[in-house]
Amino acid sequence: MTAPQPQPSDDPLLQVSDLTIRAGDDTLVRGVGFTVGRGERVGLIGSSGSGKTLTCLAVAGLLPGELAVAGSIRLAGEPFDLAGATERALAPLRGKRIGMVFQEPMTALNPTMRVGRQVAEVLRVHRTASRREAPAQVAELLAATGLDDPQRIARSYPHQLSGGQRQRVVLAIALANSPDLLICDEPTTALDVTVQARVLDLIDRRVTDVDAALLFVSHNLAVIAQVCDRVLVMHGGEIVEEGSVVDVLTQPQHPRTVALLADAELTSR
Amino acid sequence: MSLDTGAAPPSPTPEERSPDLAARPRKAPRRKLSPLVPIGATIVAFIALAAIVSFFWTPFDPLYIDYDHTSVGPGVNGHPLGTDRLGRDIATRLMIGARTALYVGIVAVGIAMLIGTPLGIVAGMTRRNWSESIMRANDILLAFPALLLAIVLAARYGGSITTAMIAIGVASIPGFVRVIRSGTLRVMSTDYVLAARVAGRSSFSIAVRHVLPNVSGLLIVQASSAYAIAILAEAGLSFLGHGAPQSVPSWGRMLYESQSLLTIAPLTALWPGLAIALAVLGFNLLGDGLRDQLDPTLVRS
Amino acid sequence: MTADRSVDAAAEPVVVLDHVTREFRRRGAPWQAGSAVVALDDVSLQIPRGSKFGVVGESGSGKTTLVRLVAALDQPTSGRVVVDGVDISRLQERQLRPLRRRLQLVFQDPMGSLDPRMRIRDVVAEPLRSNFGRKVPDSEPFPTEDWRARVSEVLAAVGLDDSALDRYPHQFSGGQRQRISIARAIAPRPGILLADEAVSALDVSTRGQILDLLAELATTEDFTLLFVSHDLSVIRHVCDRVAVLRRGILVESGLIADVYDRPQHPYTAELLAAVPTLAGGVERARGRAGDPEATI
Repeated sequence: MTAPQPQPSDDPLLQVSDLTIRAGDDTLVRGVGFTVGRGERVGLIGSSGSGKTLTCLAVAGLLPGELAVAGSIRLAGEPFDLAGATERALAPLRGKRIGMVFQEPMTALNPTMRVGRQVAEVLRVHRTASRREAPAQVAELLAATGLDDPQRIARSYPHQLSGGQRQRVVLAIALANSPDLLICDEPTTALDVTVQARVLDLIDRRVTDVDAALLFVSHNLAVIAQVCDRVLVMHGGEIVEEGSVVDVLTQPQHPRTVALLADAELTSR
Repeated sequence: MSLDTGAAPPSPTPEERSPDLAARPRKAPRRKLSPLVPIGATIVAFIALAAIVSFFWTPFDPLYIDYDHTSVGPGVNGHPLGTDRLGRDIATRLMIGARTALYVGIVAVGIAMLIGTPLGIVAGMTRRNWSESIMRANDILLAFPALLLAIVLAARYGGSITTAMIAIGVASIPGFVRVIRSGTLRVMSTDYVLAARVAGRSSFSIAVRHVLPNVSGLLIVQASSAYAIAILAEAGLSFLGHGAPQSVPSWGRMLYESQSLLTIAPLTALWPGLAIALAVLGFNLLGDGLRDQLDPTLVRS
Repeated sequence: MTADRSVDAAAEPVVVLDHVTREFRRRGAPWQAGSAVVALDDVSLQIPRGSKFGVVGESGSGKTTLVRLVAALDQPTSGRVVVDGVDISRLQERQLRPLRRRLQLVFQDPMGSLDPRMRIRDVVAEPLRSNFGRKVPDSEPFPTEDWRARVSEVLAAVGLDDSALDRYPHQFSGGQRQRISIARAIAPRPGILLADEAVSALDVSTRGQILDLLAELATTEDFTLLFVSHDLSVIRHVCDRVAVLRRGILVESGLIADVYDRPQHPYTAELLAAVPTLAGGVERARGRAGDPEATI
């Protein structure tokens, strides 16, 4: 018996159609299409080279310039197509409607700037808070990610924090303006396993708190199963299977999915 | 722990099961050749060609003095670029001067490379005390301008091409030591060097077999830049009268001699100046282009 | 304090750590005392010959230090490290060199562990031909003249063929490079193979293969496998014994089944509970969807 499917809403938050990404003669992503409803949690799984990170970057408008993009990426409420949009059009969205958490927190944070200031920066740039209001909001946001003594953390530099703490800060920055969509690309892969469990819980909780949709990329099915409701399996630049987490994990259809399950079996006892 | 599986889906092929098995050794990805390299290389080649050709042919005999046509402009009496104040053909002297420029560069850079590279490697591989001592000595040498060194040598041994080469060479050593040391430190921090130690290699063996090949890129780039500086330095020294003597055509010397004619026949200064600028440009472009090409941190995967 | 519950320790241990402590002192300013970081604190461990021994630890646990001490790349501040019957704690490099063939390493990063400028043939042959072919006083009976044959032999053992010999590392995938690393490590017929996070940098799909390869080789090439990792499930897949490190202290050790099924130390239990499982994930997903079948 299958779990009830989340109803595809008529007005999805994110609609990707026929996304194709090319680097010179190589086609890295081919005809990818999917939707993410408001508040829905979608996982993107595949081994390296499957195109999952590129798809993610395309949605965030962060693809390197040498890659050619075709297809359409529509975000509800925005009149223009995100695919191929200019930086000028995309910048206001990032940090406001779309938040991002990447794998390596050390490169996501400016090593020369105190952490509190970096959180404040995203508030100020999008005019969510004035200079006077910012510190209080920063403290609140940091506390919401489970950091003890947020005042001290705010005064610290990234290198003074542990990997888990840094990732929480990155999460705070990503969620600061209550975005509609949170994109996570392997956010816990570089963390110790005990920290990983806590950060995953945190992502789960916070996404619910701010009522955001989640696009979560990982190479590990077990991790995706912790936080997502729906999963898309990618291989060779294409989506080869999609469905609810429960369905895909209990009744996989595509051989690639079966293979990924076997791998997850290995790394999850 | 078992999960429900319904009807069995087709079992994965080996390639689907693991992308690793399918991967065939691939050809080296083509890096886009920086446009600077061919331009720089062309300029350098042109100068080298002029120098080589000068051994077999020059527009005029280098010793020929055209008494009736001193300080004339280009095209007069068959002189493609004119003559200098003594009536010697400029084009000819430029070509022979190219020999000097290249020769001085090769020897000077050679000295710097042969002394600086081992020092840099040793500084990168040894314990703190030794490494620091080398670097501090290096700093002292760095503080010495090539010019000063050349003047001191000239005063002691008489000005000549040789003293110029030695002075410039020694003054170029610190650059090599620094660059090679930083490259060595990077190599020493890799796992493959650790693997080499575990395999039983001695430090000397690691330096030769692992460090040297992996800093060769840096070496080439540094050599190109040092070459450009050497040419400039030689011209400067000759201009000040401490480099090539009267008998040896050198671009710097030509500049020196054209000082007195600057107002009446400015072209006599232009040609050697242009030659120097072109040579420096060529080597710098080559060096910059090679560095962009070889710098691993710029590689996009 | 160790809680070793292994039933049979009859085989003579091939590696022994005897009250090993490794401190790193940082010199402060001339008028300050400076601080010390204790990477390993009074660790005592015995690794039986022929076992597949796992060491589990998160970051800061001291596992990297442990690897370096056992591989004779570092010396303990106090205590003894005995490898293959030889106390290596205070030996000089010169004395260590002839012994190095006995213990080889496979590193975490497949990109960084192979010299990009060397052909595979030379990479794999390195432990066989060190020091310009000068005969290293052999304590192991390895005929140094047959290195070419041995190189082909080990490459075949890891699933690659002779076409790889003339190629360079960048022409291979991560998994293949790790195989080459393994080939290099087993070439001198070491008695001990130390794998330091050997599969952590690999794609999840490739991990299983490499782990199976290591397990298989441990039998065919007859070496003791010491596998260090932060990943519990990876260790479970390949090892028969395990030791758990936390902040430089050995917290628990014993047979895999014992430690994993009945952990005695709370930290071990915490580690085990933190690993995300497929079944657990499915349950949570069901719960979120409001599925009546959910048990959460």
